[in-house]
Amino acid sequence: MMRAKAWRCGCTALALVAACAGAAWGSAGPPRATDLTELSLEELMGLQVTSVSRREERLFDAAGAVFVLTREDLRRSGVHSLPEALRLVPGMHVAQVNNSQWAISTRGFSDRFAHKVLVLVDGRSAYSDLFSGVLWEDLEIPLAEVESIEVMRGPGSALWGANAVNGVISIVTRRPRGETGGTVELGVENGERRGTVSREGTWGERSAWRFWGGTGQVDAQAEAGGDSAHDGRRASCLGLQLGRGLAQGDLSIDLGVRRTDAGQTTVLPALTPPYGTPVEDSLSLSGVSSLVRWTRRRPSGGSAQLLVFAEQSHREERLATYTVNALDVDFQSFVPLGPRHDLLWGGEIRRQADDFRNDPVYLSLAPARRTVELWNLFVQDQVTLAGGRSHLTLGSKAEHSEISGWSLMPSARLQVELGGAQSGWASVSRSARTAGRAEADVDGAWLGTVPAPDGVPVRLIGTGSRDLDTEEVVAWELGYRVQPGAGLSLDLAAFHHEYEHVLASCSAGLTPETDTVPYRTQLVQGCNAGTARAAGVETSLVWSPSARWRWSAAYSYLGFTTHLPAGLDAWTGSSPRHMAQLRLQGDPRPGWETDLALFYTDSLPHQDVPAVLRLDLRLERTLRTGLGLEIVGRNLLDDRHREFGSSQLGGIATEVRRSAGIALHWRY
Amino acid sequence: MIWALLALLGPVQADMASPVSFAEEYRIKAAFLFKFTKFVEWPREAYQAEPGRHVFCIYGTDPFGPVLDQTLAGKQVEGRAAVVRRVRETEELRHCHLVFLAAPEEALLPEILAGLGDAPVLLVGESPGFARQGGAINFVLRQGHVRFEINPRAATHARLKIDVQLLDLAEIVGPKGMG
Repeated sequence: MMRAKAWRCGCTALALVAACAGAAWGSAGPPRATDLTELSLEELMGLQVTSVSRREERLFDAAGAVFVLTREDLRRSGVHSLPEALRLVPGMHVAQVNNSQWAISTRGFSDRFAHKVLVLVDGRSAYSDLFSGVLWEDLEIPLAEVESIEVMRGPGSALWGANAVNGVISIVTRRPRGETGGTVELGVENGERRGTVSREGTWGERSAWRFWGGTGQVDAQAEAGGDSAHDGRRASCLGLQLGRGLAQGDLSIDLGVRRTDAGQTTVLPALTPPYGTPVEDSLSLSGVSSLVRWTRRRPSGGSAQLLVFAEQSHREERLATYTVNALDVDFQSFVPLGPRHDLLWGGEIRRQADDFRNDPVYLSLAPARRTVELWNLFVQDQVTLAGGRSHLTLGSKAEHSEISGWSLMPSARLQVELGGAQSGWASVSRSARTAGRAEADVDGAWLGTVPAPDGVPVRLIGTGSRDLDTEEVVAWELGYRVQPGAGLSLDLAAFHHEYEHVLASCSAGLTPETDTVPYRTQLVQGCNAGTARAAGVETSLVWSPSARWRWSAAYSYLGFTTHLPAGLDAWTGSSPRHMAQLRLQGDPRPGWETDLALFYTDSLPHQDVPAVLRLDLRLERTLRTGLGLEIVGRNLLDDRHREFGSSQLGGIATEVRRSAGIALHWRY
Repeated sequence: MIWALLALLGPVQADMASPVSFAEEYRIKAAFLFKFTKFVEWPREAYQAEPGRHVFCIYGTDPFGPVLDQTLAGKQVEGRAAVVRRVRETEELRHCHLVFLAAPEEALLPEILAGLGDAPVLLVGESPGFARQGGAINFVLRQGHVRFEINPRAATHARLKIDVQLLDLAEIVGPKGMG
C-alpha cells in the first residue's frame, strides 16, 4: 500500500532459506494414484520422459541460510494461505494484522509495509516500484498452487537484486508435468470457505497444459470491543499454463487473472479531536498477467533462460487508487567453464508505468503518472577449490533505477565440506534497498494530526525527497550443517548485519495556518537518520526416528539495536527477540496422518503485543486412493490474540481467533 | 462459485489409476531403483548391521530432491522397510544396499569401487561409461525413454545375484566396453 508510510521506519525482511543439500525430507504418506512403482518393468521402460517438466533444482546455493518448504511440508501443515505458510520457516516473523494485511520479516524490521525482503514468483520479482516493497494482499496465489517455497535469509542481492536486503522468498508454482489428471480441494473453517480446482493433460508428443482456479471467502473479524472490523474478503483467481518441449529446451506460457474485494476500516485524519475518523472503506484489487519462459540447454552442460512478464493491475481504496502496467524482461545464462568454474550471468530490464489518482487533501504524488525504469546486470562465478570439497562463490549485481541511481551489490561465499557429513559456510555481502516513488514523489500526504502542548492541532504532512541516500547493509554470516546419522540433521546460522542510511521520517519545518480552526503544519520528510545493527542465530533440527515419524524444531534469536534520533525508531520492539517452533509429522497407521505444530513468538513491546504461543493440529484420513479428508484446529491455546499493531494510516489490527475446519482433497 | 468451477472440470477419469504416458525423469528412475531390488538378491550378511532395513543411499549430489523419499515412503523390500540416506563419506557406503551416483559424481567411481571391494552394494549411475567402468547398473536415455545397462561381472564381484528377467530387459555391458 503506497502511503507516506514508506519512509517511516519499517522494513520487512523476507529472507527465505533453502534447506541445505541432503536434508532428510522424510515424508511418509500413502501411495498416490500415479505411483509409478505399481507399473511393471516394461511399462516403466515405455514411459516418455517429459521435457516440459522441471527438475527439482535447488534455487539457492547451499552456501547460505537456506530453507525449503516442499509440497509435502505445505500439505502437512494444514495452512491454506501463503503468509501463513511462511510461519514454518525458521527465523521468519509472520504476524497477521487483519484479514488482508500481514507484517512479515526476518532478522528485524518487522512492519506492515515490508520492504527489505525480495519476493519472487517463478523467478520474477513481485516487488512494487510504486511503494518499494511487497504487498501480500496483491499476491493472490492459492496455496494449492504452490509447489515449493524457497527462502534464503541474508542478503541475496548479488544474484537477486536490490531490496533482497534481509533475504529472498522464492515461490515456485505448480507446473504441468506431462501427466493427465486433476485435483479438487474444498475447505471450510470458522468464517471461511475456499475451493481450488486444477486439471492437466498433454497434447501431442511434447506439449502439456494445465488449468487452475481458486476462490475463497472470509467473513469479517471482530475487534477487541466486539465491533466488526469490516474486513471481510473475497478473492478469486484463474490460470492457464502451457508447456512445450523443444529440441534442446522448453517453452512455457502462463496466463493469470485475479480479483479481490475486501472491506477495511480506514482512519481519515481530521483537524478536530479525536483527530481521526474511522470510515468503512473497501479495497478492490484486480490483475491480468502473462509470463513467457524459454529455456535452452546446451550439450556442454550450460543453459540459458529468457523470461518475459507483463501485468496490468489495478487497486482501488479510499486513500490510494492506481493502475500499474508492468513489463519485466529477464535473461540468465549458466556456463560451466572447465572443471573448476561455473559461471552464471544475466540481466534484467523492468518498466513500471503507474497512474495514481491524487487526492489533494489526503495523498497525492507528483507526478501522478510516471514510468519508472530499472535495469541490472549480474555475474557470479562458483569456483571449485582443491579436492572438490569446497566452493567459493564470488558475484555481484549492478543495478540502476531512475529514482535511486546506481547500486553495486557484491558478495563472497565460501562453502567447505568438513567430512563426517558436516559442512560449513561463511559469507560477506553488501546489499542496498532502493527508494520507490513513495519516497521520492509524494507531494503531500496527511499522515495524522497530533495536539501540540498548547492545544493547537498539528497536521503531519509527509513529502517526498529526491536526495535520499540508498539504505545499505553489510552482512557477515556463518553457518554449519551436520547429519550425524540416524535420521538426524542440524542446521546452524549466525549473522551480523550493519545497516547504514536507515530511512526514517524527520521534521522538515513547522508553519502556522488558519482554516476553520487555527492549526500548524509539520512537514515530515524521509531522511537518512542513522544506523542499525542486527545480530543473532538461527538453528533448526530435523529428526526422523522412523519412516513414519518426523520431528522438526527451530529456534532463532535476534539482537537488534539502532542509533536513530529519539522518536524516529519504530523497529526496536517490533520484531521478536526469540522465536521457536516445534513440529511433529506422523503416519501412525496406513491411511492416517497426524501433524502438530507449536509456535512461540516473543513479545513486541512497540506494537503492544504480548508473547504468543500457538498450537495447530491436523489429522487426515485417506478415504480412498487420492481422496483425503482433513480436520484442522488452529490457534488452539488462545481464544484470541493479537499478532501486530495497527498501522498509522488505515489498517486497523484485529485479533486472530481460535478456529477449526475441515477440508476435502481429491486427486485423480 | 465453487460449483461453477467444478463444472469446468470435464469428464472425470473413471479409472483412478489413469494411464500415465509421460513422467518426470527422476520419478521414473526412483521407481526403477525400487523395482531393481525385486530382481536382485543380496547375501544374508548384507542385512546383519540393520536387519529391518533396506538402505538406499544417494552419494553426493542429490538430483531427486523429495522424489525418492516420496516414492519409497512406506514401501518394503522382502519385509524390510525401505529407507533413504544421503551420504557424503565413502566409508559409509558399505552400510548401504543400493547406492545411486548422480552424473556429477561420476569421476569418483574408481575411488568408490576401490573402497568397497567386494562389499554387497549395488551401484547405480546415470553417466556414460558408468557400467563399463565397473558400476553394476547404469541409466541411459534412449529416444526419451529411460533404459538401463547392466554389467553382470560387477554385480557378481559384489556377491549380488541378478534375476534373468532383469538381465533380459537390460543392455549388457562387459568390462571391455562391449555394450
